[in-house]
Amino acid sequence: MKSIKSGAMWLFIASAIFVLIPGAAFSADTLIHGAASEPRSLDPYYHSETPTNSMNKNIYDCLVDFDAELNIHPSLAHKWENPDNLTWVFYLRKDVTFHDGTPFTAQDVKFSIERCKTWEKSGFKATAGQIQSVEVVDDHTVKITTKQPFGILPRKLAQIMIMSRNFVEANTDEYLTDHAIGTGPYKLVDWVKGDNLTLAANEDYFRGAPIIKNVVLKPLTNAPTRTAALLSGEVHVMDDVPVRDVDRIKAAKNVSVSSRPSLRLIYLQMDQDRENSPKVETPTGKNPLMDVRVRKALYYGIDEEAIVKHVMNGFAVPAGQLYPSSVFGYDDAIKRPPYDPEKAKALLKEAGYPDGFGITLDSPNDRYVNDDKIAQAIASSLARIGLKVTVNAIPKKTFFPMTDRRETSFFLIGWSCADRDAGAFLDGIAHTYDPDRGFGRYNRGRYSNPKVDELIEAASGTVDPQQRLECMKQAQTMILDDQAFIPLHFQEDIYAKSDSLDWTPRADHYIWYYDMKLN
Amino acid sequence: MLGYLLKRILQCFLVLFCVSFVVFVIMYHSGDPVEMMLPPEATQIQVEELRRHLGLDRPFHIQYLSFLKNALRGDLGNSFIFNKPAVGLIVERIPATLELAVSAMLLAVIIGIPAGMYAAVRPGSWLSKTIMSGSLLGISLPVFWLGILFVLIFSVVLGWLPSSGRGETAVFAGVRLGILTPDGVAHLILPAATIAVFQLALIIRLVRAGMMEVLLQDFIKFLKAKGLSEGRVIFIHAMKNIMIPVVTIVGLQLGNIIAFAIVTETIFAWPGMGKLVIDSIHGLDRPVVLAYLLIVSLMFVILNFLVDIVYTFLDPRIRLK
Amino acid sequence: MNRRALLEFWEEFSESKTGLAGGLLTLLCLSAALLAPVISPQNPYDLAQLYLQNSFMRPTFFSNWSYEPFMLGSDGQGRCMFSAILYGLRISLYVGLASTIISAAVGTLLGLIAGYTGGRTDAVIMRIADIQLSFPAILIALVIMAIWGQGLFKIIIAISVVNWVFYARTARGSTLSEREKDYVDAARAVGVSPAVIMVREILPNILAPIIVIATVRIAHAIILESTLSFLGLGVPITEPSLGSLINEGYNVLFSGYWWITVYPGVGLMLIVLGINQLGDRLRDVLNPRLKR
Repeated sequence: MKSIKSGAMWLFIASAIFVLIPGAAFSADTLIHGAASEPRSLDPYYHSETPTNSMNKNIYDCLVDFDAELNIHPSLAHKWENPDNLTWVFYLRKDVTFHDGTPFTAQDVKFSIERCKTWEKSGFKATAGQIQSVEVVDDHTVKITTKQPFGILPRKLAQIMIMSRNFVEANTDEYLTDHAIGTGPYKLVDWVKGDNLTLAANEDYFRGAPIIKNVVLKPLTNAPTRTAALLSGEVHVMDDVPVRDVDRIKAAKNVSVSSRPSLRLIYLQMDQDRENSPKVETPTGKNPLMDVRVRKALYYGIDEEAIVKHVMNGFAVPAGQLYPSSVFGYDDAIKRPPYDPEKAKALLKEAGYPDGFGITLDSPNDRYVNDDKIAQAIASSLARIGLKVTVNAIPKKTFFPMTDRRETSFFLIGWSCADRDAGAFLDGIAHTYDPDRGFGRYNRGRYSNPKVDELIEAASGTVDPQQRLECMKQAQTMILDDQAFIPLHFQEDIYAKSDSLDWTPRADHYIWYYDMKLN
Repeated sequence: MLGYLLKRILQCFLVLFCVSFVVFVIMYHSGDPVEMMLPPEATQIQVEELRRHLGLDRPFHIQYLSFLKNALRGDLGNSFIFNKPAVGLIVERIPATLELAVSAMLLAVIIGIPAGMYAAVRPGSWLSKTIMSGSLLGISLPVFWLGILFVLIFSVVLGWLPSSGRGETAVFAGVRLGILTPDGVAHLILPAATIAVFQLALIIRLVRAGMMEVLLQDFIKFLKAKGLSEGRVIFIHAMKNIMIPVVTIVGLQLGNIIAFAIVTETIFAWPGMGKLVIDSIHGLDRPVVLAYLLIVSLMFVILNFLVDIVYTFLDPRIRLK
Repeated sequence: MNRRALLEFWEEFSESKTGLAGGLLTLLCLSAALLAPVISPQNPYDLAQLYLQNSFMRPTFFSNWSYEPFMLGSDGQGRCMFSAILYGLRISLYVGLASTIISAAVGTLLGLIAGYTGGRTDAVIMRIADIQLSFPAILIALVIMAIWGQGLFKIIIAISVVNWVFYARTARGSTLSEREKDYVDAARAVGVSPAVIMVREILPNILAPIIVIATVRIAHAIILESTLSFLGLGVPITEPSLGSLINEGYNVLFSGYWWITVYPGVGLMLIVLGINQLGDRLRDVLNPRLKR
């Protein structure tokens, strides 16, 4: 017995020593990023998704870039001009090489854009949708022709990453998923799925070698884990800080929180074009959401201030319109009306539903910040104006196809005008559903107002920004009068970082390690 | 004996085949993966193209046959999310899960068997009563809540142990193991302890019950009358008789631990198979879920088979048949 | 089952203090669950009663010992934890009992048929049971719920599907030994139909081991439901069970809101402990091999 006891004691001492030895001591030259999502693939066209695009943007470059505020700047192309309104000529830099030493030429640009458009698994086909053809003029000049006059082509090119033709042609699709050769500031060193993705600085980067020499991305999808890693010093920077942890991080030493308004609107869509809606229960059996008074009742009946304060912990801005102030098309004359449950009840009564009705609110539970909690809070709010709301919060992979198949009546969803132009929302969501002409792809509620359509089309057909703004503002006012959608709030992107890291977040939620400096 | 073994092997294959069929049927009906592989802007034509490319437009039996053909070659398709072979993704993570499962089981066995034996031999003592109450508590605590409590106490409040991840790993014989580094051990303690508590309680109760039954039997009285010391009687003769059920349970429970590891791995962000499968379920990543179910079935079947063989050797009654 | 047998049973049962304690605990949880609508300060499933302004309130019970809403704190949607735990206990017990009854009924019936009829039927039923047993229980339930979606009814069915095999195997084993006994021969000789023999003659005699199994499986069922709800695959989030509450609490644990995950866990532990203690004592009393 005695030997067992002393053995146990030694074991205890040994484990205590192991525990007290500090964990991984990384060199001062390595940045560790605790990420909320792991990138899906290092093949940049495989899937257009923010975490994947964010990582790939460190490895690849595009012809032009967005800066932190989403203004266009030259990148691989140093200059461009329009000989006519369907043609663009891009002049490429001559001093760029890929990570394997091969030179970057116009052939790579042509190859990349064409692959982007034609590869069967490409997630960027729509981004390159307006491009008719790409022609190599010479090794460092490229001519792009568009199908129609397309003033915002550079904003689309800023999303198409340039791959090395030789590398792609020499390897299988599978190989390209986790091996990458780009022109960007960082090269891939290793990727152990679920554990770490390691990058090393590209010393020959055309903008100059990066300051931080090594980067490790650690996927820490579990939010409490991610926060714990930041607080214990295991990572230098984390994205998607849970709103509840902000105060704790602010209170801690050596770490700080930085947040910025994002481009994302969280809003509700309603089924408006059919008498029989799948998830509504009324005494008459008819769809109450077709009546604008009911839609307005929902709007007045949601206590958004409480949601922002208690569910989002203050990290959101209540929205009165469809895009935030940083987006071109914003109308600062529009204000969100205050929460008014009495008015909501009155409107319901007027519309013929004095006792309310039953409805299901569908929502993803893993896509937007606190999405399922927002849905629950909305259900509570609406319960107080007499509606019986059931919440169906499901994973995004099931949710989005379900909305596409129109198996919903009322759902929560988000939208980000990624290129900072309201046209994306108006064309894609508010316009009548017209897939052949490319309008209303996400108008799942099938809202339709011909006058609004006219204004939207007028806006996309003009190049004059003042005229565009006018049309877009008028369109939005009508859309809001029709209560086609119920805007909830604009999200804020919240990041947290160690005080030894110098960095300010970008508007598009991409994380560029080139911009960072470690002290 | 050989006949018995062959019969068991045949049974294993039958089980695997049935499982593969049932699982395939379920996944086939569980939602369209194509729509979520492409971005929302994809046109109907692009959706059809991809569907054709993945072979998802073929009739059910053709898909199943092709699935079986590939499965026998070890190819269970590519993950829809990572675009890599599903089998590879699961197999990559087996060492992590096994490390957790085996550590937990070892912990449970090393502590449980002596504790159970003590509780059987000295049932009236204070320590025995404590052990038995503890074991009752142990099987009543839900594993996931225990894990959370451990995290709360040892990570959040006391800050002694890390709350997630595997820590540093070192490669040994081609396998990544965390137990070889002090940081890895620190990360292993809480999750292994979480799983071990339930197994420990189970083993204590089993050993105690078995031991008490054995000690009542005549041959024990005979041995004691012969003059053997209590130590010999307990540790050699009595123990041999309880080893059969103990080994059986340990083997079977190991399979259960691997399955239940899903929950522990989720709480501790342990990068094993379980965490991958939960993510894949939520992500509708059909091939990975299928691969996981088949691989775990295989493990379960092999474990049961091994347990049967060991059982056969340990139990003279079967051996002599 | 006459009065004297019951009395004897009770005498022996009450010899153990833990058994009695278990019985008491179970009874307490059962009554708390049944009386939940009456004794809870709030109905946590009624969305109209939840106000976000009440979210994340700290427990006050241990500082001012009063019976009020939010005495054990509130969760992120403004639910009173005490009420949510009572209603959660309800769900746990409901799912545990319902799934046990269903799987016991189905399993016993199938085992009875398999054991009595023998031959092909027996082989088929047992083969299916064996195949299902070579698969970890939690995975079966997980896959069912992942495909089917959340729902109270669905999870009862899923757990029943997982558990029927245990009853079937036991019932079959007992039936096999009962089948050879005299009273069965006698009934057969008189010309009683097999169905009636199975139900009227054999069934009452195999109930004891079935009850023993049930006491073990019901605790498992409760834990399985809470585990699935914890993983988000069980009951819907607007009518949370103890597992869902623990999950919600876990996500905010690091922000300092510990009561949301700890108290429901205590509730869960108490009911399972009670059932286990009760079951233990029952098994000891019914186990012939421990009789000296």
